[in-house]
Amino acid sequence: MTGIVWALLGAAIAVVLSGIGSAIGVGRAGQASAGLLSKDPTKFGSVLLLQLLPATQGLYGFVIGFMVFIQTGIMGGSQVVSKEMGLAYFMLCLPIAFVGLLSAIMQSAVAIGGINLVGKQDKQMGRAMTMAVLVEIFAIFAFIISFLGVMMIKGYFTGLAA
Amino acid sequence: MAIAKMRRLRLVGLKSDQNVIMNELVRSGTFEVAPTSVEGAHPTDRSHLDKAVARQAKVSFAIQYLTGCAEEYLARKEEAKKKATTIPEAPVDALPRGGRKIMGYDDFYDVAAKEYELLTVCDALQKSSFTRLENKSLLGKVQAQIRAVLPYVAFPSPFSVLGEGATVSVSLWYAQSAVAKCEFGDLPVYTETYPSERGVLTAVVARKEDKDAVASLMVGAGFGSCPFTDAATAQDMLRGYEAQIREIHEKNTAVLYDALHYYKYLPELKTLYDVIGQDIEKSSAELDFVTTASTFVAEGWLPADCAEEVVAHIGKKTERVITYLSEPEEGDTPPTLVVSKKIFKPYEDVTNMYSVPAYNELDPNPFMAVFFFLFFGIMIGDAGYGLILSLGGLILLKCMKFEKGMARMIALMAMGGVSAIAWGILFGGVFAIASVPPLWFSPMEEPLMMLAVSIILGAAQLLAGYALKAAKSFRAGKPLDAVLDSIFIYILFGGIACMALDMLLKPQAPLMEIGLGLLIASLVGILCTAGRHNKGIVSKIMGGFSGLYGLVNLLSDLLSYARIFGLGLASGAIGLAFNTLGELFFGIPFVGYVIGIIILIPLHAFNLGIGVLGAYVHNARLQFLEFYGKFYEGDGRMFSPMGEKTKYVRFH
Repeated sequence: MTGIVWALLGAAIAVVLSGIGSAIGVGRAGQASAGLLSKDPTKFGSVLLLQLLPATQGLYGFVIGFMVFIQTGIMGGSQVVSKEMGLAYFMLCLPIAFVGLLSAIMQSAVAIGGINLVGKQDKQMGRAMTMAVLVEIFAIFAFIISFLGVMMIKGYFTGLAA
Repeated sequence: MAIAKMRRLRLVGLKSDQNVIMNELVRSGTFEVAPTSVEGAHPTDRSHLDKAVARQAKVSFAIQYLTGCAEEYLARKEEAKKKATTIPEAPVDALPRGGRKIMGYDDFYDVAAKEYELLTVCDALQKSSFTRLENKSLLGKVQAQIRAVLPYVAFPSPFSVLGEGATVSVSLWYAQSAVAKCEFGDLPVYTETYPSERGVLTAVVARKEDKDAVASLMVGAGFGSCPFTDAATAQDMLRGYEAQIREIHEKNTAVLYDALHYYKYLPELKTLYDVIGQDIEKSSAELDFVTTASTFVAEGWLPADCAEEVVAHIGKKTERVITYLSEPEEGDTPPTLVVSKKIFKPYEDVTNMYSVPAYNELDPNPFMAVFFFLFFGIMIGDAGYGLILSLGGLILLKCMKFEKGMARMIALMAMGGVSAIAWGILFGGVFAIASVPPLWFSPMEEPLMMLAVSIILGAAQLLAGYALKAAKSFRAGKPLDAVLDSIFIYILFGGIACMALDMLLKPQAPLMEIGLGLLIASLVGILCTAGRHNKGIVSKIMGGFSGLYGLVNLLSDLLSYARIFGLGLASGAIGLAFNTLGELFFGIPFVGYVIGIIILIPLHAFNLGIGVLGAYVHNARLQFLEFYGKFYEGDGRMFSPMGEKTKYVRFH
């Protein structure tokens, strides 16, 4: 496979896996929300927030995929991507792909717990949110590593060439 | 900026003065009832309390009923507006929104004086609601009758033609299934089928002696016999029922409008609810008092700086009262009232979410507030977002009235916005636009520097935490612990700082050696002192080693501050990606910028939303686990004076 194919495979994996994670997460949390709303429709605002929390992983994957497009010149300004470079982009996409997939699913599990909690006790919204957001940090760390790598790897290769 | 000192009030008064004294205490807004510490009999008569609870339930019902009526009226009005017709006006404005109404004590007690009149209103409303309920059940009955007669609507004759004549029998049958059909075989019958919406409607004329045979055949085919024998056609009956329904609706509307005449009492009813609520709170507190035939003993907590004043006020109302004010004793658990400057108030709620400070504790809020403010700004890290937060918060607070908790939350975000503006200027972040030059450095281009800044700020917070721990030990009269538990950590950090400076700056001074010396000194110090509270030489040594092992926790605490770095970079990176996406549209001639900006606004709003959420939660986590873990006790009980737990009104 050529370099650009490896890079695009990475972009695809980043978007696909984190997107699947978010879809599963938001979907499960949505089912729990609907169940709660059948008893108490006034809580729509709070449970919507909880339902949306696992959506961010999909966004992180999307941003990484998009940045690979920009860096490899897909969006204009075609660039030569050597096989090593392409493989490097592929590797750099893996953190957000896998951590995004699993953290979104785990975050939705906490969010569902939070939705049940809010259903029983009105005032626990803040705590329910806090618990679910804490899962997020690992996706953020993975995202940062993927992002910094994708942004900076080109400089590394031009440095080698020079 | 501290936790208020409390005084225990013990008060002995005459039962005849009890009401006056209690009202004065509630009015002061600074008295929290505590269980009495003297031996004696408690009052057993709960009748006053029970009556008050019943009265409050009545008022609560009236409020709900009136609100429901008003909502129904407004919905009808809205519907009429859509159909371009009008309905008669009722004295109802839009329903009140927002939090509790703010009022003074005088207005509050004015309503208390009108209680008799208002309870009459409640009675009238209760009656009105019964009438509406009766109408509703009547309506249900008529509708059931309509459903029963509806299948026979195509039968053209009055139902009285059904039955037996001299030789023939006429019967009417209805089957729910549209394919039902009856075979009569040899029986001489005449049938006539009428159009029916769903089922089959058939009239059967048969010889009188075949009547039973026909009936059993029809029932076998799934038909049911018509139960009506009225002298009217189905059509006539339907018309009659519809007239009845119209009449019920008219009556219902009349009752609704009658009820809405009382709508002007709604604000007063709401106040009355809280007036009675205060009475309930007072009465249930009084059940805890110790009483004799004609005296009572009340106890409770008052903040020290207004205790004298409250006692003096009571003295003015009645002379026949004895009061003692005393300091909290050993074993008492006074409530916590944090008195702080207005600017620190929003941060109290963050602390209380974790745990309310203990009564004897140092108020942690001012220290935490500084770090919370700093970290929130870095985690957002964008001057544009900060401007939106602070301006938006300011406008919201100026233009709208909020409940205290909400207003504090908005103030917290607005202050965080100010911090974000400052850091955004340092980092060159304005709506994540790439071309803005940083005043200090750009985190995206120098992520290592950003990580270092985060960890250094974290080290500063951890050291502050150890300093507060030392201060706590001093206050508790343990100066040796204060020094020994903290000083080696400071030496350790000093050593690491020297070594880091040496690596970064390569100065002439022998910083590396000094750093190493400090490091070893601190490790030896911890090894020798961490086990000093243990008994026996072996467990002292073990304690020393476990103290050294505790440094691993310190390291993980320090690394935890990397989340500042992570969150700060994440919102910038996502913003940058959004901007790149938006720029794709800028190339379109003429309308490119308009489309791009229309697309960018919701994207940035989303980014700001998740950024703020993450900044708030992770910031709070750093305060709770890493900072408060070093010195904070918590587990206090919040001061909750009598008369504060109201539902509809609050006092200024």
